[in-house]
Amino acid sequence: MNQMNELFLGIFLCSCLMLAVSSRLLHCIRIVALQGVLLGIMPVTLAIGHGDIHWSVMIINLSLKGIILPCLLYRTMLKAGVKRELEPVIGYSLSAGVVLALILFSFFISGRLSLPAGASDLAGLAVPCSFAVVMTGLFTVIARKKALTQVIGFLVFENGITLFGAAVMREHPLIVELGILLDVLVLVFIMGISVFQISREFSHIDADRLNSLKEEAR
Amino acid sequence: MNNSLPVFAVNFIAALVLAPLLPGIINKVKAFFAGRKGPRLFQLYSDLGKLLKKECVISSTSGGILRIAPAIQLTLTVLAALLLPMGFKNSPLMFPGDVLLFFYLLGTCRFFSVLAALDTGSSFEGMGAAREAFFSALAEAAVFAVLAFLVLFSHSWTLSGMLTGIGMDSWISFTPVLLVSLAMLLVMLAENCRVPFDDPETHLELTMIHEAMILDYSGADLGAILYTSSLKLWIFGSFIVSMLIPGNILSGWQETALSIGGVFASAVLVGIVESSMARYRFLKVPPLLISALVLAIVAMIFQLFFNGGIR
Amino acid sequence: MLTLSLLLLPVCGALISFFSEKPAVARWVLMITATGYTAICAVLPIHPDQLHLTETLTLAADPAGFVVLAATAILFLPVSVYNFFWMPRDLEKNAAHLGMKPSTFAAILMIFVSTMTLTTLAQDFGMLWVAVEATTLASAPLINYHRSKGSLEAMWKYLLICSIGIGLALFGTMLLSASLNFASASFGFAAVKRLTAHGFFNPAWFKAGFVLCFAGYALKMGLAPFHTWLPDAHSEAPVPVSAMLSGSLLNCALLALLRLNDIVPSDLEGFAAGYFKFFGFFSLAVAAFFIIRQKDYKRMLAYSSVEHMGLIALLIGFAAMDYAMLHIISHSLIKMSLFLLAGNILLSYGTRETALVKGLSGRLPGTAAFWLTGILFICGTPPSPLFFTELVLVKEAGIAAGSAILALLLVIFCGMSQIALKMYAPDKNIGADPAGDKLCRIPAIALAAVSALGIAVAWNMIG
Repeated sequence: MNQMNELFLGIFLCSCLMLAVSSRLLHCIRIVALQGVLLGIMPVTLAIGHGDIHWSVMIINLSLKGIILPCLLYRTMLKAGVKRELEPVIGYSLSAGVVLALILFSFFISGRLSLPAGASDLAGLAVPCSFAVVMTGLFTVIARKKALTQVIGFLVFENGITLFGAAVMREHPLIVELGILLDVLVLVFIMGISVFQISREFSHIDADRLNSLKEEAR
Repeated sequence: MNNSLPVFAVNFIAALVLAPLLPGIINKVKAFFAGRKGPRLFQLYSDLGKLLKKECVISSTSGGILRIAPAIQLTLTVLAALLLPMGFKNSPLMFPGDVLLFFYLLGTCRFFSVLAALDTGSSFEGMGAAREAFFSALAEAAVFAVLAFLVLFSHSWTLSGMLTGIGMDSWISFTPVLLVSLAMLLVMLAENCRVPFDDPETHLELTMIHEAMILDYSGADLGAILYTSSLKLWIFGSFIVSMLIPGNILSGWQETALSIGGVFASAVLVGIVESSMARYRFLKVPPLLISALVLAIVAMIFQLFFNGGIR
Repeated sequence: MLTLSLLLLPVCGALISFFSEKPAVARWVLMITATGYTAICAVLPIHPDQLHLTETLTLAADPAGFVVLAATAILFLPVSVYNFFWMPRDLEKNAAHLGMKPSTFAAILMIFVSTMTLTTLAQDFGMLWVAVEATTLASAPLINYHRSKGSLEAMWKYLLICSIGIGLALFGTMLLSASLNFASASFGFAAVKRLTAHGFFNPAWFKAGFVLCFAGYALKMGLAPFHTWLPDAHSEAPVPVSAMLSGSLLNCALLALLRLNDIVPSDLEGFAAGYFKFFGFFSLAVAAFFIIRQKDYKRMLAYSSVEHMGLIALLIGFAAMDYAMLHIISHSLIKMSLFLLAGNILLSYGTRETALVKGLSGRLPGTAAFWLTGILFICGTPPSPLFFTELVLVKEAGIAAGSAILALLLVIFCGMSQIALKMYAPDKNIGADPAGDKLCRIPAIALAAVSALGIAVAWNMIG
């Protein structure tokens, strides 16, 4: 089963790189949904051979991160009428390079951290992968201008954290698990509304143009 | 190892003889999914036989390249096939770095087809040539990422060593191999101008790529071109098969059967892909080729990790 | 029981206010809730009253948490009283572009207080994180009470940036858990401290977790360079919310950093203190740079919050914990008074630009006097307790760092007093506005309390 999980981690890394090069929001939403589905499956595939499967975690992850949130994002995208990120702060080919560098960097730094004793068998590979996903998410928030793409970046960031929780820790405090779910649900809910509000108010959702509040140049 | 040369020879000859079967298989699979009867399995053989009897008509505006291009392409492709391990046996011509020669032979082959298309002076063929050159340039990046992965994996610089070196132990952690095979499948579809990159069936000039380039050929020249493209399909199929299936687990002749069967299976796979999806718009093709690159790169990172290279 | 009632009272108030849908009811409910809340805080014993949610999950008030809780309570009461008089006047002026009903506003404000209470009572890192997260969610809609392009932008920035900070904090918490080899199931402060004190931890993972947690909570606390959302959110929010954000919410994030600092084992103390010192000093410098020619008096106050968070971080870095606590309480009170006074000015003049506020002493004499006093107090003029804490800080920091801190404090003093004096300067063309001046009494009481505190501290230091 470990090979299965390795494959999932590989797909996770691929999805990060794909996120960096895709300009269409629909692609980005699909990538996030794919990650959510993987996060839903992994608690099960990880637990095979170890006994108890966290069914609740699996169902919540699968339905929330894999289905509900992407659907909400898709609806918001349709409502706002934004299809693609036209002028990213950092271009697509450069983004791909940066994400690649981030992946290599996360493999590099996690090579210097010796694995904790209670970690799962997969932890050696899961630690760098989750670092990479977290950093890609943060990078997406920085490198893209559209409010929706930033939300997608934030979701990827969250997915990385969840991946760490799911794949590295063998057993974890439930409260952390619950916290993530509450967080994502409410967060994107509110963000979705505010995206909608922003678009209604100013007929665009370019967060970059939300720039009236700043220190004046002197 | 003493019987490796005969096995290779048999496989090589089988490739030359059986290659025209592949388009037949693909068409049969497509016909099966469409609920039609479809052309005969051996249709390409009959076509080739008919074309060889006909005379070649060469456009009067063309220079010499159009005339010699089919022969050059055929020769280069056969040479490339000679470098590839067949039936899981090393090629007799192998030397360190022959992968580069292998891919550059195929590249030169493409170069001549593009040049010949430009030589006709037809605007359609020029358009097709431009698209062909663009897509293959993108595919090249993926190809080299795959090559880098193979070198890392097998620690070998020969094509034969790379492909036969992926033994059973690679399946203990199959993720990198699987990712790379996916990348290679995408490259195969792109290089052979199959759906979703190009539709070999279409004859609407505006959407054609490869077919647009061979509009001006006729007779034996056209036959050579058709045969070359089927041989190329065989080469890529064989590449993927020897990458995916670990060698040295069966006796020599069983391996031969396995490898030929594998190539046919890859043709069936291509047929299934073609029946399940439509050709992509041109704008969507570069992202697809970039995903092939991405797959290969991630495979490479995983391999480095397993080798202990980045820890 | 008391602990639970402290959490639930604001929630009940919120429900009543939300379903009443009447501004008048909401005002009363808010004030009554705040009175009850403060009363419970006053009688809350520090240790014995524990609330066991599960076997391992406990809510209780420990000394550090109690200080922040007390700061919240003594802010909540005056703010709610101020809100009682402020809300009708504000409705007169701004009814046209409200982002939500006044009753909803009051309800969310109470929920916000409840989440902050949870932050102070949490006794393990999981609960603490959930609570800090909840404060963000509860406070974000409040910023958009006066609906405008600016407030929407501020809310968006606040949500996005703080969410990232919170995500980082969660990741850091997970890494901390990894550093303990996942040994501690409950992850309570005491249990973690026992483990680290006995060396049962992996230093590399601990450092990584510490850095991420620090970055996450420092972002919520507004330490530079993570402060970018703070001036926007604090200046765009309506004044009662600004007062709560600056006076209470920043303390809650600070409390999280204190908890983090508390579990650092003795051999890593220098490592942790370095972070507090560096980011504290950096915040001081950034605040000085932006205050000196600030054109918006609410933003000026927001940057002053950045400055004081930096000072508190420095105090923690130099291990002057008692003075850090004193600084927390006094900063909260003074900053609240200043924001409430700024609310008076804003209502009367209708602008946040300093250049357009002229003749304050003539128009709002009481407000003007206390505005000047407050500005002097926040800059550390005796008898403000901040004078003593800053004195201790400079003494602890040594000659080089101390003089650098002093120089920055001087710059901030010049910047703020210069702006305040320009606003204060009499102007014959401006008439008096006695109705608008009535609201200055509540901040005045708070300032009086602060000076009493300062005198008590001085007495204590001398004696």
